[in-house]
Amino acid sequence: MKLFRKSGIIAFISFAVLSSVFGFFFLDPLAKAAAMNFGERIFKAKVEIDKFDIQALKGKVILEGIAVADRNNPMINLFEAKNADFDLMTSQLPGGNIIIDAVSVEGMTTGGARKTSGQLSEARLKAIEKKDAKLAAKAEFAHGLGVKAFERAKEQAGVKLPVAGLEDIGEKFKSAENLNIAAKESLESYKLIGETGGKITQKKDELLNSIKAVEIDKKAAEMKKAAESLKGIKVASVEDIPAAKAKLDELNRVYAELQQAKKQLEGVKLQAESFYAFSASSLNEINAAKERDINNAMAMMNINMLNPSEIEKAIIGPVWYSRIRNVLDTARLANRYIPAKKKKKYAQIKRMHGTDIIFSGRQYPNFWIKKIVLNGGSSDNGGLGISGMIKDLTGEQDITGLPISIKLNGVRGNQRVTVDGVIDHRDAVKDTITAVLSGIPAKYTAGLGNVSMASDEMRSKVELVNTDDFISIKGGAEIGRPVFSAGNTSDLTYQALSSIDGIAVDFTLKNGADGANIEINSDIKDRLSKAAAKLYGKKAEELKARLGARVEETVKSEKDKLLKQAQGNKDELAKVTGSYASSLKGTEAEIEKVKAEINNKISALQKKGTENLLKGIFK
Amino acid sequence: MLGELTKLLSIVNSNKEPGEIALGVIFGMFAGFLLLAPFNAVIIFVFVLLLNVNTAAFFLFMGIFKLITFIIDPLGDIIGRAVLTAPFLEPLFSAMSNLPFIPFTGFNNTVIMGDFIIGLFLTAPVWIACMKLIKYYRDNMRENVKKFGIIKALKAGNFFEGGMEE
Repeated sequence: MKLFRKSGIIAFISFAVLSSVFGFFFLDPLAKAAAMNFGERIFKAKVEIDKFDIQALKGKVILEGIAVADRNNPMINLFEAKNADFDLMTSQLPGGNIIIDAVSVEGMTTGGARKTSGQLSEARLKAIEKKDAKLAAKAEFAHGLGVKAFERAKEQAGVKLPVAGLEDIGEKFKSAENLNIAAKESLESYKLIGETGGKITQKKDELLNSIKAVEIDKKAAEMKKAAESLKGIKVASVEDIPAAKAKLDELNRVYAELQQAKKQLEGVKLQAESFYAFSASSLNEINAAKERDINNAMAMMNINMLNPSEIEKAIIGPVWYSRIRNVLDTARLANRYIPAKKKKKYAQIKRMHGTDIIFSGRQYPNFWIKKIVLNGGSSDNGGLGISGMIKDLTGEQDITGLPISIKLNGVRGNQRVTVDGVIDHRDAVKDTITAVLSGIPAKYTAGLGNVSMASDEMRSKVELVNTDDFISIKGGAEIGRPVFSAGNTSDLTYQALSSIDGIAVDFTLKNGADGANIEINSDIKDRLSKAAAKLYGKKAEELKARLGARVEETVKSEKDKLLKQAQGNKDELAKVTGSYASSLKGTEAEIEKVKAEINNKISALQKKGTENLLKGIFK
Repeated sequence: MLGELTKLLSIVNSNKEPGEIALGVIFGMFAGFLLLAPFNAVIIFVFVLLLNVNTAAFFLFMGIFKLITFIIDPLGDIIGRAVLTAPFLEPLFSAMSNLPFIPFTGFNNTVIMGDFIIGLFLTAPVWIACMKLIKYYRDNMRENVKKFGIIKALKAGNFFEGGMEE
């Protein structure tokens, strides 16, 4: 029997030759398409690669003309590079591992202008989002914070600045002798007082019911009764001691119950305190509603006073959101593609057929770029050159045992960027990224309705901490020397804003097991208030005070009633908790008295017994 | 069913070497057992292409053993798990997972490893059984079988006497 088949050998050689020819002509375009497709999925924006050259024998891949658009600003490149050389570890390719020893990127820039839009088509975006939705479906704090931050920023950016001429205001002040406020029933403060009254009563009733459900009074009475029944117990002889001790045990059990009841009372007191806090915060809300009533009254009189809170919202919304977006996206990508795994002897992946055993002795992950060296280039499209190093880029840190480290910096004129970060998902998620940017974007602009703002002095610092338990982003942004412009320069908002020489915004965003919290503060509110005071002078303050008095006068009786009701409820609750506390105290004293009585009787009997025994011995 | 029987008889009745047919049965068995990882199929097909293996026997028994996997997979899972999680073999498998091409075979899957071991154990018995059965059939039964009416009918359809073979 001949072992080999001649026709088979010919077919095999033909297949190998045809494959090589196919690879020679089609491998590069296919790899290029795959890389662009993957990049677009990651960045959700157009990814362009001019040339993709695989030099299999040398173990090199050379990319030229790389450009990745910024999905948030499609006419700008998130980054671009003239060329990137990949040195592959060829020994690992047949094992299906893409291990890249080093990537050298030349001419790396960020923020360069694009000739065409980098926005993906609606259909393509939908397809990507559909795939991503499966990954984002799991409860993930970074994703949740992203959604919440977007909602908040959208709400703030939606605020348009009011338009009012300065000269109109002056006239209005003169003619504003007859002050008109809205009808009593339409006043926000009046409505809120009514609602609050109902809520306070409801809360008080709920609290009283829950206090009654605990039945502290009843328990205290029962315990007292039990203690009294043990009073005067006879301990005349040694034979009585076991019965007395049993009674003592019973008393101790009652005493433990009493301590439990005391703890319950503490809980009740805490609930009462939260009720008092609720009452106090309700009063604050009523005062805020009064403020709104005053503003509404001024609007009714066609006096569009500056509302610093609204203006603050309109201006700072886009500022803080634009600062946190990229760093938040990085955390989301890290969470999505780098699972945190503890190093085990081996891991198991359940399949339809059997289980895959993953051996921890694996030296190489499926994909690993050991080192990316970036050399920033000069760009004629306004981009900022970025230099630095990214190390150990992989999705399987449990195998490499190394976190991803990022150190990037770039300088061009007044533009500076520094990014320092560690993405550590080895055992648990421990990511920290700090980005300090100044002059980025080169010109910050924001349209705010009638008024628009521009500044070439944007500075910001963003610190991200991402863990298994929470994600937090802290930072601040400063806009130096903002230049405001308006169609109508007598616009009051424009006038007020023009006097502002800088804006500082602080932001803290956190999402964790205890919920999301977004705090945005800025100094613009104070600055605007001062600017408004300057513009309006004393007259405006007087007008506001008079309107305030009118509103107060209108809602006074209801407000007083509410305050009285709140005080009454507070007293009622204090009375109930006080009575419970005193009855428990009385019972405790009674139990302790009985316990002491029994103990004394037992001790006296034991003492007497010992004396008799000694006497007997001496006799 | 009749078609499969015809194929089997056609292969055995052909004048092919018993070794070629036995090799076809053995490669068919491994293909049926290891098809879970496509790379294994590629390796086996390359062997079948290069070696003098009876392809009809290979494809027929690949189908038959694929059906058998539904029965032996649970046993393969147990054997594979025991082997793959044996502490003294861990260094070997860790080293194998770093070797070129080997990870593509899916050797770390409990069912594939278990079925492969079962296949190894069955290789010798299957080879011997095939050789003996073919020899016995050709020496003692072929002429009698040819006399059956159904076989005569099939003969007319050119399925017999190696009609399937190239």
